[in-house]
Amino acid sequence: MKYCTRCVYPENHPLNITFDEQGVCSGCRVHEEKDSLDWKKREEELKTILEEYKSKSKGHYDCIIPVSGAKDSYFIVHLIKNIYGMKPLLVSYNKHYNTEIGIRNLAYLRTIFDCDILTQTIDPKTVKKITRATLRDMGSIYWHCLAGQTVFPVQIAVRLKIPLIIWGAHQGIDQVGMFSHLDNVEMTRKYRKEHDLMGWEAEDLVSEAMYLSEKDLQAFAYPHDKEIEKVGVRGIYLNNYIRWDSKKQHEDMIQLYGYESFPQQRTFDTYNDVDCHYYSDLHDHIKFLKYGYGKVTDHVCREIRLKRMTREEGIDLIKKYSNIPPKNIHLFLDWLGITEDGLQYFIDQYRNKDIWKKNDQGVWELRDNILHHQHDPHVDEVRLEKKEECHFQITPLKKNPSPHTRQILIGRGFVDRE
Amino acid sequence: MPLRKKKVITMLKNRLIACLVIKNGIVVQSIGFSRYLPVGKPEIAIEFLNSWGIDEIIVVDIDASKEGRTISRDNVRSIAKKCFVPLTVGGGFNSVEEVRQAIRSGADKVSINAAAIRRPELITEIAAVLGAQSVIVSMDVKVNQQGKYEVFISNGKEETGLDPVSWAKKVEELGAGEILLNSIDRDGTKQGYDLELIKKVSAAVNIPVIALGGACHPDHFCAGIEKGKAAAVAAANYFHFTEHSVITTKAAMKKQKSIHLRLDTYAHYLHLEHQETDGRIRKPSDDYLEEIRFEFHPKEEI
Repeated sequence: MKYCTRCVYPENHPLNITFDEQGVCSGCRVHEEKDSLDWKKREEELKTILEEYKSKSKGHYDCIIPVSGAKDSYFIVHLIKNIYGMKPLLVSYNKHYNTEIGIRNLAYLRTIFDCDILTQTIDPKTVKKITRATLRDMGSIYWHCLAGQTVFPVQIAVRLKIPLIIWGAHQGIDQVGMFSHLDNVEMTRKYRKEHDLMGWEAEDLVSEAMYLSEKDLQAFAYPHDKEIEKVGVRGIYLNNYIRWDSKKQHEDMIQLYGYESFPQQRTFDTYNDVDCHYYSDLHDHIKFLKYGYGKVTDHVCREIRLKRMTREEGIDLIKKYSNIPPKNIHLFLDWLGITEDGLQYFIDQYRNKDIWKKNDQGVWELRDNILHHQHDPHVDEVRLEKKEECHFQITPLKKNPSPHTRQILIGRGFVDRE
Repeated sequence: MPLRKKKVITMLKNRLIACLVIKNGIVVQSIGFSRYLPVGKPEIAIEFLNSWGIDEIIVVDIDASKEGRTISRDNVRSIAKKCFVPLTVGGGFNSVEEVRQAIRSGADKVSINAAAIRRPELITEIAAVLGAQSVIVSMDVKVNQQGKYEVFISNGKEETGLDPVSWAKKVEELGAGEILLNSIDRDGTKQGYDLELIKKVSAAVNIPVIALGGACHPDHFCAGIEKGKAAAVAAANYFHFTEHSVITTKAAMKKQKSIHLRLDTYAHYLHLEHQETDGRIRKPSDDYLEEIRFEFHPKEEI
């Protein structure tokens, strides 16, 4: 397995990745633009777009912002509403795997910023049926979250005739350099199908064997091309116009609005995924079982590129977190009504054979890992100079956590400080 | 009043062509023939380009020649399955037999590049067996150190000493059906085509010339046709950037009277205007949005 000589991404990255002669990956090369582009000018471009989309009709929404109880939601709303003076409609797909903190962060988000919000909560029985199917068909417990998050905003855009959707970072750009920032890439159904949904759109899941009808999947179906065209819907990504730094952005939001952070099971980033019981837990463990690396690798790559971590420090963190077992696995198994063996069986079908092999005893083992690539050629010559330390804060909680870990489907969220 | 003679339109429509550059089995963006950004699977790119009403697709495996093989038959088969417009494949073809296999696997045409330079008779051989319409000769052109246009091979690394105009005339003579004219200097630059180059080559031959390299705005495509006199205009990276990119581009191009294009997708974008700066669609007027807010749109019935 080839690993990037600057960050630590492997060549089997599911979004695909390329390497240059020095072994540096496309993600690192595109990331260099963060230090070379004129971001003032980029921001002006953003302002021009936003200005055009400000609605002249009285009181109508200017744009849609998809939000959750974590992952840069505060920053995006802060920027678009408080800094640029737009009137956004917030939309949120309820991913069912909510933590208390996630529910609370979202409740404060809509009250602090005085925004209208639309939430889509699909009935749990259907979500479970779909999740059983996606586990079988692609080894994923997260398909419905990704499908819902990426389609609900578009459905609302065509239904309410709001032609602009504002997203945060484009994962393809930020992780593997799929596009240059200068490409000003926009939301497409193609990217969603291929990369968010692993090639499976809602229609593709219809299956008699899984008792899944078109009706069950209707909430996840993409609007027809004609509906999108009629309204002229466009989805833009802020990281093309703003020098994206998720850690710094979250820290600003902690300071300004009291965003809550929380330690994560399988990574050191305490900001991004506090709203979900499984994202840095079971879902990430599954990612590791499929591709031989987890979320911690994504976070290490990001921090190396932002010059807050050396490659060696990053590898130490990967060593520390990669093999931590998921602590919420039973919460999930109980919710879905399957056994641990059953789950394992499905996941094993989707092991990437470039990185995993079954040994003589029938046990899966890694063919390679980053630890064998600490001293690869070119590592020193392509190294970035570390400029600051990487410390993630843990904020005080607004409310003592309840003694039992549970998924909250719908919760009040907003609390008076105790 | 004398009867006016009805003007017979013999002109073919201009084509908008997407080029998919394949490296390590995935579609990449190519920048200056030296940087490659990973985009995704060819099958998915083909599926969407088709639904967006592209006129033709050219798929080129840029590793094939270097690795001494041709674009794999399995790959051709799986992309052809998703492709409902003329499909050209390229990469490493050296013999009529290899070309025949690609055509059998579902390709409509092949594009040959270095092999045609090494053994020009190959063009004639393929044309004799499969017809001229199935042979596209692709040429990668760069301004050399003497400031003159020169044809390069091996992904722009190896010079050939050939002048594009005389080489174009030669390949036409040998029986090529079309010429894919790519500018290495403009590759991935977003600055538009090298119009001078396109004009020179188009004027020198009677077979269709497909312009490639640098287009990133509907105006660039229009210029390729109007100023460069290209029969067809192509781009690679550009079509990956926006939703329905082919349709929005065609809608913008349609507004030029002299451009004749096929635009028959149900979503046509003709009701929207385009930004001058980047050619992307503009926001519809607030009055219009107000008006359609309560309209019902049924799905198309096919």
